[in-house]
Amino acid sequence: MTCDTRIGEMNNKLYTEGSLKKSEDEEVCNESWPRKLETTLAKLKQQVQSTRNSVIMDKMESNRVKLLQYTSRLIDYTKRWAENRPQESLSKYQRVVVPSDGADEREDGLSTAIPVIFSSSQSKQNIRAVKLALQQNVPAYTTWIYLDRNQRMTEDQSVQGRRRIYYDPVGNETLIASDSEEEEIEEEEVKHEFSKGEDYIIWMTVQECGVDERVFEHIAETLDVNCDEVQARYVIMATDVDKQVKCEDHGKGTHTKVIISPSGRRKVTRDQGRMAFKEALGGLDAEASQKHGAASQPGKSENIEAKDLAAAMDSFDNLFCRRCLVFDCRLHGCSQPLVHPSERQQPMMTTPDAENSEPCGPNCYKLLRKAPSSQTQTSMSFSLASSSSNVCETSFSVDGVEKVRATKRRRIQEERTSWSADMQLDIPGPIVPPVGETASKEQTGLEDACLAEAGVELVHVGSKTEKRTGMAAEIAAAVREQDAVLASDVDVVVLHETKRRQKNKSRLTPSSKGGETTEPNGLSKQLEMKLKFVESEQGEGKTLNDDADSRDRLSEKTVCEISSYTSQMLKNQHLVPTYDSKRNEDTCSKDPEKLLHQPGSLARKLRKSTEMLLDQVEIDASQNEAGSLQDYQPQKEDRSRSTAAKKLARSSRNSIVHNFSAQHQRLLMQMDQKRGIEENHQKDQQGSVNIRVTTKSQSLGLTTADQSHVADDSINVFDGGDGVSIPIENKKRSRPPDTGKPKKVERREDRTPLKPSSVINLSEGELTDSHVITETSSVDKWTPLEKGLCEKGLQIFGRSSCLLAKTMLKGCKTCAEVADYISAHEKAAIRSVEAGTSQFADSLGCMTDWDNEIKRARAKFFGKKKGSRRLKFTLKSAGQSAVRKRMNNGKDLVCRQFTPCGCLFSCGKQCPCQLNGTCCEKYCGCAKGCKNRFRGCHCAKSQCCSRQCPCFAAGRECDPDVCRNCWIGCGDGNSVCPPQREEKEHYTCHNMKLLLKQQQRVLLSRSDVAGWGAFLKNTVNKHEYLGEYTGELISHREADKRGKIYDRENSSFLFNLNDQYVLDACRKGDKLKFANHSPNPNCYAKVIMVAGDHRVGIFAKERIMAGEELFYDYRYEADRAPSWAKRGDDGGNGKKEDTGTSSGRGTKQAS
Amino acid sequence: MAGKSIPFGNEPLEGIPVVGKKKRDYKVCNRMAGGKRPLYAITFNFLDSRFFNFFATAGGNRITVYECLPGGAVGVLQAYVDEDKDESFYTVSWASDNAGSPLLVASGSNGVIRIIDCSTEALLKSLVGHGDSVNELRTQAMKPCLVVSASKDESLRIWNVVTNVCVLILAGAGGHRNEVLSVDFHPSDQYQIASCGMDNTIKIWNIKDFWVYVEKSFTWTGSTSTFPTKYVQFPVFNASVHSNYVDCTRWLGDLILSKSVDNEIVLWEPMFKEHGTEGVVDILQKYPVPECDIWFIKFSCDFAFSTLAVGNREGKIYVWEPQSSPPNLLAKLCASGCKSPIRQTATSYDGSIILCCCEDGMIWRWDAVGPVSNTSLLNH
Repeated sequence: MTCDTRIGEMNNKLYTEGSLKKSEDEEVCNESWPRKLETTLAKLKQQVQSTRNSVIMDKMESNRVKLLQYTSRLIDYTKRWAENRPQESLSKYQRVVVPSDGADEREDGLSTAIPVIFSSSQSKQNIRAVKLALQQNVPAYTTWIYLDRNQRMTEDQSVQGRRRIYYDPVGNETLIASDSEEEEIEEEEVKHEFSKGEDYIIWMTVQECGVDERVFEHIAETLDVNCDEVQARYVIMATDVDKQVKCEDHGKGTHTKVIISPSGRRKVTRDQGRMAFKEALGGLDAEASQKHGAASQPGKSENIEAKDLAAAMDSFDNLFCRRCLVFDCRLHGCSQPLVHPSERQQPMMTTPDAENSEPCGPNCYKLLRKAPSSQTQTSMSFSLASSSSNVCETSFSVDGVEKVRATKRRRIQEERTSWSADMQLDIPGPIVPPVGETASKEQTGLEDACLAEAGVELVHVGSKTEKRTGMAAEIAAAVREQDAVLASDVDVVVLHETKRRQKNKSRLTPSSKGGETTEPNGLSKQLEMKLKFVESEQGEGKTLNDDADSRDRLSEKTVCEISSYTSQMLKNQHLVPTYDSKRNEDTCSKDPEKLLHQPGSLARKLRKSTEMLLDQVEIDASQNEAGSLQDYQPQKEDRSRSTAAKKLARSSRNSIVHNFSAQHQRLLMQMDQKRGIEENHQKDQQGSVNIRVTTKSQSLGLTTADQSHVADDSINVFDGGDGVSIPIENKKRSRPPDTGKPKKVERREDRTPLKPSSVINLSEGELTDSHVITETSSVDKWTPLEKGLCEKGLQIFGRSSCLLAKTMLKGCKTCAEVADYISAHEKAAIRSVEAGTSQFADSLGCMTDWDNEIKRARAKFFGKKKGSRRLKFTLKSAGQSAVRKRMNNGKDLVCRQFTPCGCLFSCGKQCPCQLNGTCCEKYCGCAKGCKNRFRGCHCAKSQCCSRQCPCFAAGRECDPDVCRNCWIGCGDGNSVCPPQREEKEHYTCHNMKLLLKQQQRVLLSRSDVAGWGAFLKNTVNKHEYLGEYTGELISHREADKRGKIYDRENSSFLFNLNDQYVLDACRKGDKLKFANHSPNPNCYAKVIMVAGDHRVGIFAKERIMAGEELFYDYRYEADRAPSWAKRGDDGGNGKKEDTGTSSGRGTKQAS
Repeated sequence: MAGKSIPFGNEPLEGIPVVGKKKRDYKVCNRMAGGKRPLYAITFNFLDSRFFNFFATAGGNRITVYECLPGGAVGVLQAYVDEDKDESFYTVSWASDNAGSPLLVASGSNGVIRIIDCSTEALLKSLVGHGDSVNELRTQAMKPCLVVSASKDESLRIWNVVTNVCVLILAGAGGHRNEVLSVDFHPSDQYQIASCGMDNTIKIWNIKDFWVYVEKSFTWTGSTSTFPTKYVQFPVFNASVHSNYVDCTRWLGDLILSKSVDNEIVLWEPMFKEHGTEGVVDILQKYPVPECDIWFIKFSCDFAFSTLAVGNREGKIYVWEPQSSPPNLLAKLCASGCKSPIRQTATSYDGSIILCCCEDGMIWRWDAVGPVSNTSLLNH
């Protein structure tokens, strides 16, 4: 400080040298300053003081007035009984009167004259005392009150001066039970909070005496505050005043109310903090929000919107316990590490495309889409639909006798018909003028991706309407190629196309002309649908080829496809399990109702369709395959749509289906298809149906995969819901893995020319670009928060924009806007994925490389274990070495506390779980296939209550999420359990009682032995679960501290839980804590892992009759046990509250 | 403002412990030994105008009811003795049932709350529930069957002494972190309760959200153990005015008088904030009480809060006029025989009689010489 003043003086001197006249003034000032300062300060102080006094007086006065009201009301109140029963008085009981003795006047005589009322000696003056009967208070530990001191113990220092000191009578050791180890609380340098009075003094003195170091110094001295702080305070006030002035100038001081007040500073700092935060956000969002901030101090709500979702969700991320599913969980504490599971859950809803439902509101995207279609268009499309439906039926009729198939067909048909009603919606206006006209236009149009899409669309239409006028083959090819490109793997398809192109030149492109016309209307949403159609065409083409006996080519293709797929991944086997589940769904969906639906019409249609089919087969034969292909396109479309409808119907089941990348599924399906073809090739009708179906699904898969890898349910549902692929799956399974295939693959690979990537990229780029351009404008309006919400919503609900708009973005965005945004994002995602980045894709919750990796990893895993499936469960579920050791070595090993690891995919050697010696649990980040995972049990009849059950053997409870047959049934069980488990409906797991809280009724009463005891209400059998031993979860260190005190009181409720925690039931616990110790107990305690947490269960060691007292062996460590718990001590009395002290802390242990 | 100096400009007005111009004279009229064990509580009945002259004392295992007779005489009316000789009553409070018969509610080291009907001299009920001794009981003046108890088990409980149910438990996450020593109902706002204790804090609770349970308790007919007793875990205001045990707190209108072991009583205003319970207090006045540095010394006011009497460690009583600004000391009472700590005082309805009970088991009665001018009571 002195240094500062010196510098100040030096400055002054320099200044005075500069101008002589001023220096004189300065000197004069300097001399008069101290006095002036003092007087002003004194004056101001007085002012402040007097204002303060007057404030207090005002307050007191106003309070007096209030109090007067209160008391006057009360006085009336006290008189209410006097009015009713005025005479009644306690005086009737008066017995002794102690007369006034004027004691103060006789100083010496006082001591003799004191009347003693209740002394036994002066019996005369005694009055009869009414006895108050003895009343035992409840024991202290039954009336514990809620105390979370435990949790706050470490950080909470608010209790000062509280310390219990116990003197150990034996060792003369002083035991201090303070709340913390640290005895001294470090005094922090507290920042001075300036009061109004101080502010006033600072401000006024500076106003009077000017800004100078010495002034501040003086003020600081009088106020007893640091000089720097005073200065800083002044600066703040000055700026505040400036602001205020400005605000007044502007005539609107609404945003910032700046007053010279202590709160002023706080406000400023908060604002600064906010700004800093925004800067930290980075990117556009931050800029935007800064603009907000700079423009004016906006309302809080605006600020929240400017935040991105991550920031807004911060408290959720930090405070929400992912294991207990509650906020601020006491068991696992807040700010747990964020563990993102590798496997994401399936979004809830189906794709919006599949929804037949009503539009959600006036702004629904469905309505918007509908709007452009004119009447003629609708009629057209309708006719198309009807014709295609016929076609479809024919195709169905082809396949055979099998009932299952038939039902499936019916179902599909039904859905398809329902779809056909919807067809107008789905087919956009542009279709109408499909007749090929201007080839040149088409070519130009092709360059535009949108046009291309439209073109594709038109291709279908054209084919449907059977206008096969010759068109520019290249265009068609290009269209196909584009599609192929979009289907990211594609080689095969491309190959396909090229091959087909050669033959189909004449036929292919009636439609592309329509592209342009469609363009204006070409809604981005429809793009996907169109693509699907195209792909389905392709698929159909393949099947048709089959039918047309082009075996050679087929084999070529298949091989080629297989090659490409196999080269990509070996995962197909992996997918098998998921298909199982899907199959279940399918069987579920085969409701008898559906069968009943259209019996008559179905038969008719079947007949018709068989005829149609025959015709078409003829056509196929006569024409070249491509032609037939075209014919079948509409049919395919229909089917794909019908499956879409199916999707909707099954949306409820979707959640079960696991996420599998569309790509993989498609691959798998194609594989299946190929196999099916190979197998059933020879006019096996069944086979052909299967093939078709799979092609369909495949094509769908293709589309979706292309379409930005969006992890929408649509894809997954499709895959999951497509029951048709199942038969193939079966075949595949039943058949041993084809060893011949890989060879073919290799051979093929040589031959197949890889896709013309340049073309692909180009067209694809165009496509996305165009779309992005159209949608950027709308996307711009989205705030970061809305974006974040939307993306979250995509993960949760899937691409149902209606639902998203309704739930997540209510009041912010309309359904149509959401739909636009989603599609725009998908486009962006495609691009980014193609470019090799998967960020967007990831953000959209879609399948990424990441998932691929999981699958790959799992494929490996399964591959290894294949063939030893039965063994796998038994061996694997035994878990990691530590657990096995525990099982083998016995019970004395202390359990390890489990903390979820954040490993992605599978855990390596560095996995914290593995290092800690615990198994990975469902809370870990690693995938299900992680080798370190406890795999649950697979028990069928053992009811999980013997050591045959791996869960039981490992000292764990079964977990319905992990174990295969241990599910929680309620009611008839149908609603809860997947149908697959239906046959085992009667199986009940007996190893989930802690989880389900199925404890016995325990009664509390005076013990026969010592103190209180726990008694059983009902008779139980051996090994029955009685209840849980609960208490505060404390660390070992804390337990040592408490234990010393407890041991001194000789009543300890500590229970060793695991290597990290001890249960203390002293203040909090349940009735079972009163169960006394006995060397010959009838119960035993056992630490069990329940959903990742160790818990203590008390079990019956023998059959216990109703009303018996419960005892268990506390199993104190031999050297620490109190005398009553010593081994070999005489039994009978398991006294807990006995005399005698123990040297150490006795903690109970599980047997 | 524990530990922190009061900032400039927010200083309280501090009274001078010297009897000023405006004074009142008291003289000792009577004294008697209530027993050999220390007396911890003495209280007038302010609930019923018929019984304004009656007071009760509690100490040891004995509760006694007296009447202040004119002319300095004291009538001993009733005595109640707990059969448990180890019981030590710490507190007693008057209550009333719906019919207006006076009830005595007393509790102490056992933690059992005794409800005695004075009109029939019968023990009505013993309320159990507290896990440790009860340090103070207070009655809600507007609803004289509601009693709040402050306990060593760090909780406060609100009881309905007519239906004998425990209505609310004020404890938990935001509750006291050590023994609760004193508690008081707001004089007019039936929802507000101020409590203080060994954790150096004063907490204001608002039971408005739980008032349905209070209402329910009035008509409760079922078993007392089945009453849906609720926990109130968070006070609405949490003040650190003192830096040591706070052993007595009373509302003075909307302001609060509280006392620690710092030889003074502090009058402060709770400044409620919209968010959070860590409140700001504005300390308005201080009433110095020399030699008052041990805990469990409680002060009392008359009905209109115009007289405040507090004893000290040496047997002296300081009578302040709490509502005057700056504080005015009305009288300083000392008697030659009164040397042991005065645990509690009782001020009569109009402030003309001041009683005190001492550690040595003595009860002293001081009567005002001449009429007591009491503006607030004159209105009625």
